Amino acid sequence: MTLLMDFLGLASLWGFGLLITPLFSSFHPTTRLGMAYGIGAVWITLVLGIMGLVGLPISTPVVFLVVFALAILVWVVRLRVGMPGQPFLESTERGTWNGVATRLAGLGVVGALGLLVATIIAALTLFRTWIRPITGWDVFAVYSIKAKTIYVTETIPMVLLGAGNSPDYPLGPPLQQVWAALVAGSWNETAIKLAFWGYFPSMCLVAYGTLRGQFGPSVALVGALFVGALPLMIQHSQEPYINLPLAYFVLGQSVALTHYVRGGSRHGLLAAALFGAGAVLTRPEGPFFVIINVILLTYMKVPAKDRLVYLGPAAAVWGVWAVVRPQLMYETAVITGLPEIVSGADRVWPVATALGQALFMSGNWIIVWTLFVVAFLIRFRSTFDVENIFFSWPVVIYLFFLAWLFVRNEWMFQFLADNTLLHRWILHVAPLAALWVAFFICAGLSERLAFRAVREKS
Amino acid sequence: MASEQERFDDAVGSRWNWSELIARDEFGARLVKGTVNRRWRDTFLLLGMCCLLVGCQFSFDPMVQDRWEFPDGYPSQWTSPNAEVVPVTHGIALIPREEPAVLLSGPLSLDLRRYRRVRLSVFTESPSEGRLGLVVEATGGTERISLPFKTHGGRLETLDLDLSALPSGVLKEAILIPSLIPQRVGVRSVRFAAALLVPWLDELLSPKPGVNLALRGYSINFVDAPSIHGRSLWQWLFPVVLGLAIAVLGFQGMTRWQAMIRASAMQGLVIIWGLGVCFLVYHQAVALSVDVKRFGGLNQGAAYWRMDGGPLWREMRAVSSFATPDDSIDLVLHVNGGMDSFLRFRAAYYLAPVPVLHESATLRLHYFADVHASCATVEPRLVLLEESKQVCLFRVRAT
Repeated sequence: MTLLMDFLGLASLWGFGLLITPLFSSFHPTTRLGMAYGIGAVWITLVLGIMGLVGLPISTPVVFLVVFALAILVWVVRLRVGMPGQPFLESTERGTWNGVATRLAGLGVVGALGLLVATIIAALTLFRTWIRPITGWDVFAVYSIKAKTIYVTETIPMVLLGAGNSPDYPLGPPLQQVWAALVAGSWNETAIKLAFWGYFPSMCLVAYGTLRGQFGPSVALVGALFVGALPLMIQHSQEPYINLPLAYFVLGQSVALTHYVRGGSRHGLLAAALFGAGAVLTRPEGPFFVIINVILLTYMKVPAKDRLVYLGPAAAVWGVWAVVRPQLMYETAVITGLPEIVSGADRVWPVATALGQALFMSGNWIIVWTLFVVAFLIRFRSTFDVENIFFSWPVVIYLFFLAWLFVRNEWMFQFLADNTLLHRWILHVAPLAALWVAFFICAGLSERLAFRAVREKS
Repeated sequence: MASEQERFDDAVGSRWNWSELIARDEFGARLVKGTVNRRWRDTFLLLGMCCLLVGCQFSFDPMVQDRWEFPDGYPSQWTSPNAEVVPVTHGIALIPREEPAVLLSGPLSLDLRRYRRVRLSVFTESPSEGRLGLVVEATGGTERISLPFKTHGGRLETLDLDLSALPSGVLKEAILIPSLIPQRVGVRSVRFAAALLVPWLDELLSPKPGVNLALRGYSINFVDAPSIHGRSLWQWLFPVVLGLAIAVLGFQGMTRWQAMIRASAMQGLVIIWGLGVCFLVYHQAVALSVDVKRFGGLNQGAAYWRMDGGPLWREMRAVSSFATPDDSIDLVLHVNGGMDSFLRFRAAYYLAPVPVLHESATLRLHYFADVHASCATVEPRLVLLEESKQVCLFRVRAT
């Protein structure tokens, strides 16, 4: 029973997202399924955050009353507007569960092997998430201590941000932990970890759906596995750290914006706006990605009105947080960062080599970054195309920004030697880079499979 | 006058579909158009890659990969007065240090049936004798074994010690004394080698990265790679992957030999990536087995006890019952130095929502890992609220 309640937190986040995702009917159904989790998380975070700000108690009965009232409201609006129902079962040409067996049989050896490995990885991560208590230092020192304080006091206390490190971090992840605990009925670490594990399969689903739009199922499955099988990401899926959620929101934004600029569909723009808000709610680096995407949209000559639609939710969330944050902090709490910037020309080489080793030689990314860099340089001209710009340039700009921060920032440079920050920060864009590379891998595999088919026919 | 939407469409340019292009065989043609007709750029690219490769290979210090940190909740039980406790990590390598003795702390759990020799890499200034002490949990009980060795001095030496004569069992602890006479010494690595035919294969297939995933706090920051001769497998494979990637993405011509190179390179990449995924699954499976042994079947309190190496959670829960909503706690820990910071944050997490402050706190809590003196002597001027085997709680001032 307890385990069921633990999973209910995970399922409820998905469920609330699924209420809205019919809005994005032009996406592949699997992409929508993957996006639903993030949208649900953003929704719950905003509801709990607003409740805390207006002084409503964040207790089980009140939260459930508000959340379900809103869910019913959305459902009614959905019925009136006439959004399509059953979005994940009917909208594909072969999209019935009866056809699942047929489709599985049609995967071929490559697809079956990919499915097997994906299942094994998902099972391993799920079991490890379930069996371990919270062990991650930053989790209990930064995120969960805030969440536990909110959960026990049923409010967002004025001294909350003095509890633990990183007082300037947004409250999105702690509020999602609070939701998981409320659903589980107690401060249950398994429920909390499972809620964050949800980002991992969701990201894989988004990647699969995106690739599936261009390639066959078995090839897309291999591509999604390429995105999902990043060792550091797998490790992060088992602890409620916030690097993986940010990576998920960054990837979701790029997928949605590419969908928008390729087809001009407003669905993509709206989804990207929600994912932008999610990124801002998750980590202080979130706005950076929103700004990069706005610059890229400007480069693509997207109408100003559409840029505002994308920017709006993220800017609103960031604005509210900017106003609220100082009121929640201890007077002694100091936000470290930009004020510590100093000149550091002698650090360029150490940072460059550390970054090179972290990208190409560590155990975190297998071969993703070598392929990404080669693809970016060789296909430099096409990185400005609509298909590639939101997958490649945010990654490159972010990596340069990261290197610049490590060179110029005393505080960050100190953490270069012990690898505390660098790899985790690379994780924010690693899945996005992997997805872009996966397009080439899938194209190559498709080519090979096509040649083989032609040879067999002849 | 073109509308904004039309201008946008113009800027976006030709939209093309990957699968369509592949089907029409235009995929490669498009890549060719933008790439291989610029020979100078390819040359520049290759030269740049080579520089990067050389730079990364030569600037790479193998020791950079080794990280030292006390494992969560595993303070060593060794009581040797001269032993400097350092944790065991990937490949069981140690940072260079100058202490007379080095204890490889737990949780060592090496099945000695799998290992045939231990290779030490030590430095001594002058000729000397040293010793490697092992604590083995064998079927007949715990055995302490001493393996002596001699060093010539003046250089870093590699010494192989035979383990085949040892009893079968689980190695629980090890202590290395590089020199029996007082002098400056350095320890670079201690590696337990398995009984595989190819010498480097035992290191490559070592479960240690998987064990570290389960036990080491740093595994959330970076994941240990499978290694060969102390270097990451991916460092060895980097030139190969680079070459294959350039072949796949660079040779986009339509001639037969170009297609063949591209196809073979793609096959190579898929094999290397598949190898990486196999290691990922292997290490995660090892980590899961360690987690099951460590936390399987335990309730929350017992799991916390195991992680913290003591009843921290239970004590903090008891303490928080004394605190009113307006109270805050000044926490003083009397524990091993390496565990201090870890336990401080754990304690704060257990105490939440009671805030832990350094100054202006209304309560002061002393937590002792070992036996402590009477609380009355710890803070004689403060009002004692609670005394237990590990805790003294005082009121500093009224709320």
